[in-house]
Amino acid sequence: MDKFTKNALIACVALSALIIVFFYAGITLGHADLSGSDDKVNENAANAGNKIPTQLIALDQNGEYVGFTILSIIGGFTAGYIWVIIFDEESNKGVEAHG
Amino acid sequence: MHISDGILEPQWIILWWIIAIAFITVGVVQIRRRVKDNPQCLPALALVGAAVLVISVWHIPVPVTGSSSHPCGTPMAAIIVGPFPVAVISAIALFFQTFVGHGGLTTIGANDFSMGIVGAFTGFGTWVALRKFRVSIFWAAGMAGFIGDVFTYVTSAFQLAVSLHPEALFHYWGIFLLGYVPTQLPIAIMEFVFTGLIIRYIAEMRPEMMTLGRNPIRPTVGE
Repeated sequence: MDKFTKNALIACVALSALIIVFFYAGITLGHADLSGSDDKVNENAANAGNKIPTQLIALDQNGEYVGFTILSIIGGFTAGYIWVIIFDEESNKGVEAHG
Repeated sequence: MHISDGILEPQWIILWWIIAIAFITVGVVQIRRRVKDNPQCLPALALVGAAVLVISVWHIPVPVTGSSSHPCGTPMAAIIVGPFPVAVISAIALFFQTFVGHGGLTTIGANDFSMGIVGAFTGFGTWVALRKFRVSIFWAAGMAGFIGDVFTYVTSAFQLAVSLHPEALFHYWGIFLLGYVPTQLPIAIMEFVFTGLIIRYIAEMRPEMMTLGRNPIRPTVGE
């Protein structure tokens, strides 16, 4: 495993651990759900302005988790694939040697 | 900052779309020119686009406030590819995010203005200004991430207030901002850290990438 992959894996694990710890802390502090502040402000703004917020695809909280996960997986794999093309030293050496 | 459909008044939806389209048009022209001049731009744009898509749906819980929020990623993107192309990238990311119930279709213009234009330009401006004063790459990029993130939400609160309560603009601007700030401030600090680390990494590994955004302050490797 090269240095970058190791660092990226450590960063992923650390970030996931941080999110889990924050989530657990939030539940422990008595917050029943930790929904997005965007949604909360949207709701408050809609109530204050007598509006009804609508969405192209209305998802419940579990649906949002699934949707965000799928989007993150697609985006993450795309970014990772391109990252390797740009930053992988071995493949770039190959490109330079052939170029 | 993902304002849903059905909240903003039609005239404001149209105005934000017009402004966003103006920036997107300039961004498309810049992208086409840069890709023609330097084909290396294309994978960098794709990378930055995918990163913005993921980062702006990253919901990180903030335990004290009992809610979660996400960073923007657009200040980091603006440092790498320049602020105008980020208006295009952000609009594409926002379009895909509507399919997971995040933001609205009619509000893509408004959301792109806050995240892809204000977030990108304030972040990029901060980066350029701090680099002119010889601030290190980590701190300059980090501050760009922080400022871009904060200004994105300041703009969203303004968009809601000016559309729904123009008669008491500053009062409601403050109210909507207070809805965002407690959760967003820790996230903005996190955006500071990862923007600083990623830009420093790119500057060390691929310093030539830092000129893709026509960056006036070429970083010195190893700062």
